[in-house]
Amino acid sequence: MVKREWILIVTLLLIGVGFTFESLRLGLGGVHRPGMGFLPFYAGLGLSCAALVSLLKTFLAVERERGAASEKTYGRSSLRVAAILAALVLYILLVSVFGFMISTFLLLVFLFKVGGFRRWTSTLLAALLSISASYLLFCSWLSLRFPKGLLGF
Amino acid sequence: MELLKGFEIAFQFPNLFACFIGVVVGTLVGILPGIGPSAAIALLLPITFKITPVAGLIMLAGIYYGAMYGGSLTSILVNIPGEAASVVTCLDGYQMALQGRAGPALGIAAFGSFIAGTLSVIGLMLVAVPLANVAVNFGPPEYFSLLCLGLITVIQLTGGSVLKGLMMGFLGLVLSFVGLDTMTGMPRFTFGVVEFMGGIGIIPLIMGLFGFAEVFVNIERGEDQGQIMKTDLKGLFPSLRDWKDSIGAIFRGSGVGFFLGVLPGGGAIISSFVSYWLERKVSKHPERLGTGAIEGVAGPESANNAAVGGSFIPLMVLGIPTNAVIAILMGALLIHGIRPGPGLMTKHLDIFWGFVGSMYVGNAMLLILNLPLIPLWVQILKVPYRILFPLIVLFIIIGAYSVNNSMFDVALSIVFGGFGYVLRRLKFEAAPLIMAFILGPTIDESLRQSLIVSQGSFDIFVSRPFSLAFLVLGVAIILYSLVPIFRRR
Repeated sequence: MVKREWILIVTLLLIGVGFTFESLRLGLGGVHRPGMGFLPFYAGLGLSCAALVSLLKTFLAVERERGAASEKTYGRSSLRVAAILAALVLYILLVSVFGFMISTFLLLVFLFKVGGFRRWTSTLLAALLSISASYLLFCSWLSLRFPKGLLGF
Repeated sequence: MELLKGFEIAFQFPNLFACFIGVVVGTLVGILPGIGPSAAIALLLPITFKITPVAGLIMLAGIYYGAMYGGSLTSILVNIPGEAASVVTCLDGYQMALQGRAGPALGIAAFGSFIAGTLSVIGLMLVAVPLANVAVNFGPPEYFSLLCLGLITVIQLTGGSVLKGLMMGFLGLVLSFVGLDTMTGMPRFTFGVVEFMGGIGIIPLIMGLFGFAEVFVNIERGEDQGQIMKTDLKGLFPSLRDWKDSIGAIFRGSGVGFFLGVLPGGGAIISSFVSYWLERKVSKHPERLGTGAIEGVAGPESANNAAVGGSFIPLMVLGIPTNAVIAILMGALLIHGIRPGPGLMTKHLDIFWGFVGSMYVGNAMLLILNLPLIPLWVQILKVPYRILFPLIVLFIIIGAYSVNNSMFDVALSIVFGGFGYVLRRLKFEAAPLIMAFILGPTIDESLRQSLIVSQGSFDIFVSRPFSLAFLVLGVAIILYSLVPIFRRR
């Protein structure tokens, strides 16, 4: 837990430092006429300082015991989350090629399968029904336009 | 007189239908884990483009308070809160179900919610108009101090580590500055990404942090959907003894919920916890709470409903959203060209009173609908989460896409989903992040405007009575939070 927290805090520290320097580049202005970077500078600095203090606390392992006690390991379930996240990233890439309808259908097939649908027929049927219903509701009724891919649909 | 006109608007068929759809969807959302009211409101936002602004507001608000009703059902029958504001209801509600008293538990949750919901609408009606008259005179210094007080409250009230809350608050602030600067019109922190010119959207942020993250956490937990209680649901009407035990809790919960709902970051979740704590304090037999005491259900369920009415006050009066759900509602109003704030009471009086009228109607509708429909909701509960979650993911994707017709927003929501999942695992609260993100641009604008007006003097924040009062309150909250640290030493 402490190690994972450490990674998150370092990420927050980097974001804070990044915003602080970018604010300086944008210009702080003065108190008479604050610039675009005035408040963002202090917010970035605040984030960096809070992350630094937190990092120090983590190093000193003040919360190690509490963290270890609350840690839960899920093993395969965590892998399932990672697989779904990867599938969602792949989905974003696929939409530009295959368009919204086909890519979303493929994503749904994957998700239903991960969810525990055993038979392919029921998986495909569930995905088809879901995508058709959402098309009817959002495209036909609400006139929402889903993105088309290179294939033209 | 205005209220009568409000009822007239609320009873017009399109508005009545919008209210019905809102409360039914809200109840459903409250029941289903993995999709909260914020995600559901964002999802149904495109529908409001097709209807009038007042019908849109009525429907979206219906989802919000409908979800508060729905959340209690899963807490009582399955020991899993369908909605975060119903977490506390599990403690006594599930115990009552185990003792074969699920009926009275569900009944008192519905009646308590109805009473509290109605009381909070009366409060909203009585407080909003006079407050709006005061708020008309608020300038940038008052707004700056008030929003700072809001941020301090959020960080203090969300619980957990203050340091983690601070980090989340600052992160929300810096993210809110991405996009065009409202005062100069120049881009900042876009890092060359064209899509960031319009800023990071609130919908992808909420869909990610609350929608996707919730799905991931539920998937990780696996198939612990819980066993639905096979209990007698016929005795839904609480007995006289039940009423005697819970009527005080209902009124106390209503007061706590309404007051905390008004505070930035307060809202339904914290109100329910505070109400439960209060019941423990006032009870002659505090040991009963947690073992199936009906007041342990009545208090928190009343509080979370009353908080909804309270949270509309800062939105309607000051144009300040106090939580994520209200922020999305505000977004919906802005899309319709209506800016919430003191002007709403003068320029769009029909919308305000129509909305107030609809909340009375909606609360009554929920009571009438909910009790007979409980067996149906139980059937929906039996659908395994592994079948539901692909549909929830589909809704989240469409919800994130639909506001700007942008796949970039979908990608952003996935990124925030992954981030939100990590935050949940490491016990970081997302609420300060969201609130700072919502309030950030207004804080920035009001600070800069104040300093320009005062020619660089910070005295402007302490020389105006309301501004000074907000700042003093903020400092008092900080000092109060430091007391336990000094005591330990």
